[in-house]
Amino acid sequence: MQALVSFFAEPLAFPFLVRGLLASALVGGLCAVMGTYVVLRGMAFFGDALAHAILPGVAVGYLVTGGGRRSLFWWALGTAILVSFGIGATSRRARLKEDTAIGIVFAGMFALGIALISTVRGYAVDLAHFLFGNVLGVSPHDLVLIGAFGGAVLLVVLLFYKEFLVISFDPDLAATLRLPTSFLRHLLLVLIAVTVVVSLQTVGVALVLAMLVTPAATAYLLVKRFSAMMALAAGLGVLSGVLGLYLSYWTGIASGAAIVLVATGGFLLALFSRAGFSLFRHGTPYSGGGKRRAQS
Amino acid sequence: MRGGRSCQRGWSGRLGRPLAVHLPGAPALEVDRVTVLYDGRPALEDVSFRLSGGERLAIVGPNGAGKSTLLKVVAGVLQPSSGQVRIRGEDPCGHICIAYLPQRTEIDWRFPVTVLDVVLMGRVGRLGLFRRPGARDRALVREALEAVGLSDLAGRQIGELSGGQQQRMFIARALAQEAELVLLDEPLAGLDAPSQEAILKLLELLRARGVTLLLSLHDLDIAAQHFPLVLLLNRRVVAFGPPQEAFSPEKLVEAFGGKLRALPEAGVIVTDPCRTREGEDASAG
Repeated sequence: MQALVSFFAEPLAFPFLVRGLLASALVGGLCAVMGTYVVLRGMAFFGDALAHAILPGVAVGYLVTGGGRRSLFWWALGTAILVSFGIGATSRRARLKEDTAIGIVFAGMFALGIALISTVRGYAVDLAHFLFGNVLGVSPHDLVLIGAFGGAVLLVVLLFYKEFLVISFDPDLAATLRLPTSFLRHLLLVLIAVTVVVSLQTVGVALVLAMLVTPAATAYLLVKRFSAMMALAAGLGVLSGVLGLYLSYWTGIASGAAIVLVATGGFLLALFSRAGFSLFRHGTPYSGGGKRRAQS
Repeated sequence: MRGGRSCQRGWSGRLGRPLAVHLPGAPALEVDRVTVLYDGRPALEDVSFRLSGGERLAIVGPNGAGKSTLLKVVAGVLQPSSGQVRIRGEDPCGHICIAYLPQRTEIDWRFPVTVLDVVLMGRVGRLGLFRRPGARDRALVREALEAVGLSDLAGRQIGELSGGQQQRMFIARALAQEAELVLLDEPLAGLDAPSQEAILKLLELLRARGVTLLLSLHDLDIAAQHFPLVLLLNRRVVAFGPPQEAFSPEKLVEAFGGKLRALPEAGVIVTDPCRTREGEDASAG
């Protein structure tokens, strides 16, 4: 018992760790809420691309301000919103499949980002921060930004909850109900973009996808209502963030990776327990994937 | 990739634009020289017909004839490349009284929603922004579920339903939407005979409520037996009218082409390949 208490209490003596825990919990929950849409709408690739494509924006900001940290958030946010619209426009103009359009924008922007950062001497350390996050470097100012933007995203989700549900489940229904489908789609993209930007400092470009997708996918396996999936995903996201950071503190592994590994562990647990449960009930393991087609 | 974009209106009547007014005397549905191009190739060409309120029309044609496209244009989900659709004299985009029931294969049945959730979605257009469903909405949804016989299954995740139940759920959604024009895309595809009967019975119920019905079918017999009006479609209108007139051997050959053989005694046999795979044809007809 004593050991358990000190396991959780000891790191709290360090203010930077407390800030890191708060940031991880906020980001974990926020990513999971938006991840519910990402998973159900099949936008995982979009989320990943967005995260990578932000890099040149951050790089330009980095060069312009001469390494100043404070304004990088705004550079990232501006880039993310531009890119989210850019991906939509590219696939419409060029008549490409959306994933091809995303692939082009994603890889091109990422390369541009690395090229720009590599012009700065000693870039390796800073590049690593962008790629893998630096949750222990979260300042009080960063925490306020995360809280404010995260809160704004959640508020918008709450306000447009039923519209987002309809447009995700059946876009044709949304059109016949005369919902502003184009506006809603773009709004959702912007919300995901903001979420990715807010998460970058915690988990980094390379791993933000996992925070979007994994807790939501875990919840998807376990519950059968949208609201329940979103709430459970948020809970799992917060838990992954907090436990992951503790894991990082005690084992010394990179914080972003630790958070993602905890989330992944939760997913595997849900997958296997579900398969086991299914085996127990029906005698055959649950087979995921593919549209389940009910017979009449 | 698609022919046109769906109509963009705000929350009609609440953010600026008023809802379409139903002009008295205007036909319930008027399709006027509608052409839809997909990547320059016509999916529909110069399609025109009219329906009065409460009429029921079955659209029949081979795969790729444009049946789904026509329904989507009437629903206002897809804008025609040229021509016009008028519902009670107005563009469909102003109407929230149109229900479009997609083919079952177009829906992700593993989506985490219950039957009740889906039927409640029919109310979202009338609720408007920032409003939660009230007592009247809940009552309408309850009533709709009862009418289609799904009250007991309201809490089920939609993938747990049989095909017939899934189709009935969509009809309940149309009822909850208080739709006056209901469009059904292949509502009988993939269903066994008893389930088909149940759906046809529910369509009778819609008729009793004065709803105008427009649906696409694969089965010529069912169209002829249950619908007073049929439209034979193969990108263009081949025939429109009562089935005994529209389904003449020449017209059927014209619509179905090589997939149909005319037999001297037994009338005609349609050998449409898609009917062998319980209507799971991916190419939206």
